[in-house]
Amino acid sequence: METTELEDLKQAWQTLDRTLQRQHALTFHQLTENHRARLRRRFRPLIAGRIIQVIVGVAVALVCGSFWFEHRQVLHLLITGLLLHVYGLMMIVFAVRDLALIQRVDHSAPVVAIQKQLAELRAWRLRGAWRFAVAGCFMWTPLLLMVFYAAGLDLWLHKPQVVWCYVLSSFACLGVFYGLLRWSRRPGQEKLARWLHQSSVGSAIARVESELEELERFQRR
Amino acid sequence: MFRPAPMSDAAREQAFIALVEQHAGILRKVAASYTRTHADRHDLMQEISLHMWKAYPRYTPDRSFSTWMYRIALNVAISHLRRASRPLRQTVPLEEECNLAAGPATENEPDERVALLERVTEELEPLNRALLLLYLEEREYREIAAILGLTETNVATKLSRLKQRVRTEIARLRKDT
Repeated sequence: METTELEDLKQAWQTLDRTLQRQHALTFHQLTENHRARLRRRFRPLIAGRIIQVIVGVAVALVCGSFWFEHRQVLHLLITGLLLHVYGLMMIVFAVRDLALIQRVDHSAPVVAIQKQLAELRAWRLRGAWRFAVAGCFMWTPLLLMVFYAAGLDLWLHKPQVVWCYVLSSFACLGVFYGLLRWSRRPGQEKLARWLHQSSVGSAIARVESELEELERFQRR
Repeated sequence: MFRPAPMSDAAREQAFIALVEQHAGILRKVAASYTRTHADRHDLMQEISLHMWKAYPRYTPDRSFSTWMYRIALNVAISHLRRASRPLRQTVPLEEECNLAAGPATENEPDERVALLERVTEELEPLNRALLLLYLEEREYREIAAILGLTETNVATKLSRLKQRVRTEIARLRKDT
């Protein structure tokens, strides 16, 4: 009888252990879910930004598309409109691709799988940012030409030297950008390189990555 | 004399995490035996983990990790219990809290036995509580002696007395209910 009582306690001890194990697993699951929900929230500004980019891209493509179509007989206006039209399309394509990659990130996947998807998104955004930066160095020239034309002044016809100055300054801008990039790769310039990288990739992705690191540390604990 | 190559910090941390994960049950059960609420249990588990990490450089693999872990866990838990100023009876019973968090049990578990275990444990002094825990864990006398720093004979004597006391306590508690 006495042995039975102590055996009862041993069984109760095992029951308690199972309960604790279950509770631990549940707490772990809840904490992991909280982390994942936070990851999803982190993407919201990025998604909102891409949606705005699509809207702006569509507006630019429509306005500039109609512009070059209306002035297709005037070569410099046709080129101006076409360049900006292509830039607008580029904005749409990059934003849609960003959105597709963000949608593809499976938040319930293991951390390593999410990291791979994020790496792909990061690489794509980095490539896109460089292309936009290069295009942006030149795009303001056709933009100004179009704005002046809308204001009633055909700059190319009346002040072609000003347009050439714009083009030259575009190359100078590209030179400065390239120089900055090269400078950031020099030893001791890690802070600048990191800033360039983060501003290209976007702070949302950087935050998501830091959340993931935290999640990974938590899972290892 | 052969000396193993020193581990890098990262490798040491990995090895430590792997060992703690392997013996996570010890951490859980010791913490559960000396606390009543989930928050306290979590705090105690953190505190034990921290002490273990601090002591880890002095741990050598030729010793049993579980024995080493029990020593630290019980020492920290006993100090924690002595430090705790809140009366235990004002807190939520562990089993009740576990069930709240884990939901209904899947098996037909005898909850009254767990409640009894809790009440018996509560009545015990910190060192006897450690002894009961190790007994319920079915640790060998040799290991219990190594953990608590007693001789095997002393463990046997103390356990015999403890068992008797527990039986009396169970009888009293059953009579009360």
